Amino acid sequence: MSIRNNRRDFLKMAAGVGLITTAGLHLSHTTQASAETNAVTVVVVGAGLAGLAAINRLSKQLPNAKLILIDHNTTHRYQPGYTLLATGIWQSVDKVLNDNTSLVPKDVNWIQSNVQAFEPDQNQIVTEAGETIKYDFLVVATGLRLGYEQIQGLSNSDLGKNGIGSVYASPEIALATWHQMDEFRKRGGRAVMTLAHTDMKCAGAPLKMTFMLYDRLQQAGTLSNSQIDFFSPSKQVFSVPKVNENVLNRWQSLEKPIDVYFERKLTGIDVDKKTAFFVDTQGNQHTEMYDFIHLVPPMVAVDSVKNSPLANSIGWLEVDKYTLQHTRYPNVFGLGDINGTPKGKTAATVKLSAPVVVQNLIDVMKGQLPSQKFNGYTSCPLLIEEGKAMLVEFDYENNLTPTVPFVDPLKESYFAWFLEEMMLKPAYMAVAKGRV
Amino acid sequence: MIIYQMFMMLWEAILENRLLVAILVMVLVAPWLYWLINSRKKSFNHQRSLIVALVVSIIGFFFLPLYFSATIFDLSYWVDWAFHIAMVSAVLVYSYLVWLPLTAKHKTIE
Repeated sequence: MSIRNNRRDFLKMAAGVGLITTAGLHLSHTTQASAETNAVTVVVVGAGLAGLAAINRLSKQLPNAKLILIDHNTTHRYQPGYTLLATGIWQSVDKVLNDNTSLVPKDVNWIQSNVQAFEPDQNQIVTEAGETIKYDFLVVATGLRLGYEQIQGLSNSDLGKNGIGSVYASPEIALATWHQMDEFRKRGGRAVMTLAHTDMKCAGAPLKMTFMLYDRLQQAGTLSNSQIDFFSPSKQVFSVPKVNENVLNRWQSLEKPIDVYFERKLTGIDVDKKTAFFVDTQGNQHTEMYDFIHLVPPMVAVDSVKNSPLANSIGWLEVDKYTLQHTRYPNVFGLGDINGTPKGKTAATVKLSAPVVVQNLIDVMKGQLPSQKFNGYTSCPLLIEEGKAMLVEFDYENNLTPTVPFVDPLKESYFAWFLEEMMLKPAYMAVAKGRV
Repeated sequence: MIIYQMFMMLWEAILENRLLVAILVMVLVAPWLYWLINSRKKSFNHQRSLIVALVVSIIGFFFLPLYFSATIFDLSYWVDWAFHIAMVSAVLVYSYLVWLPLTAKHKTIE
């Protein structure tokens, strides 16, 4: 066979691969237009990762439906990047900010307001602007609320100042947290690390902050005159037993071990005296001095959900943990942090649960039962030190479920660090755009 | 489906790092444009390109992790080494392709 023929064959093969790939790409977002899905109004509340993932998928799969997105935020915040800002890996808040207008599909009616009230018995919601919006199907993806006000003596303006850090509040405060940590590591002292007593989003973040603080002290040469103490309101520092044990063993085997105090719930803080107040399970008060403190606020459902018929007994959205369908209102689904599920207030949860919610919603729209089940998948890339991380993935049953089978999820690696630093945001953006 | 997801993530990674990707593409395209205009009749010097590419990849072997806020000393797991070697190999191939048109020489008459 001549070289010319070989080249032609190669081009034919390349064209074939291209066609197959293109067909594959198209098929993965097959539209599901039918009589039942035409002229249906679907409202998605929230334009965080969960809301965007849902609305982008719905836009592709239900081209004839009337889609409405409700959220006042025009700026999208890549929250998994906050720990990288708060530990000095990333230096600019611009790395975590995106324009929401580039992420919302053009055929969606985006109402830039917040929801004041859910009225599921009337299939309607009322916005803060006073507008009443009717729906046939509803996806609640409001996210949660950070309850800093529940820490007595603290005001939001204290965050990022006077030795107080918190990774959760905003990109600006995450960066200010790094500045506080940087100041602290120059001279050393006592660091107090906390955990919330409520359900938490990215429950690994306080552990990452602790690991990275230790590493930063070591780099600065001030570890010898420093002490890091971790205060947990429960009997563990992480809900997955294998990960909990691994983290505690790591902390105990450090050159300067991190002491862990269990069943200590943060109740208040004296900013001027640099003192934190904890209460144990017997009701005893404990006072702890600090030079640097990392605060994790209690996390609660947003008021509009909490005060609505959609809420469970503690305020979260009452959904079936597998189908993510509301247990009492079958035309309502939940996605993301607002769900009252046992686990899964992370971006990784949205990646696997968004397709489940959209498909189940379409099933119900067609008069069928939800066909998809979510296994509770959650991922937490734990930063161990600069250049090393553990890629922990697990499900509702606390099984470790590594995506890359040959990578030990409980062993730190540069590979996992690379994924966290370079690939997590692209993966996140692909989820937000409904592409994966 | 997995291939589709990887493709989408790769595409997003390109978008996220568009400045770096644009620079890398320009650095690759410019020598080939130069070759197309000035050196088309010259033959490639594969040996010299390979030597230069090897030097670049050896430097990359030691310093590439710095770009990801890590160092060569952070590589401890076999997965890390496999990944690092794959990255360094990519640097080798890239450097070779960049240098190939630049090291083209006049054909020798035998």
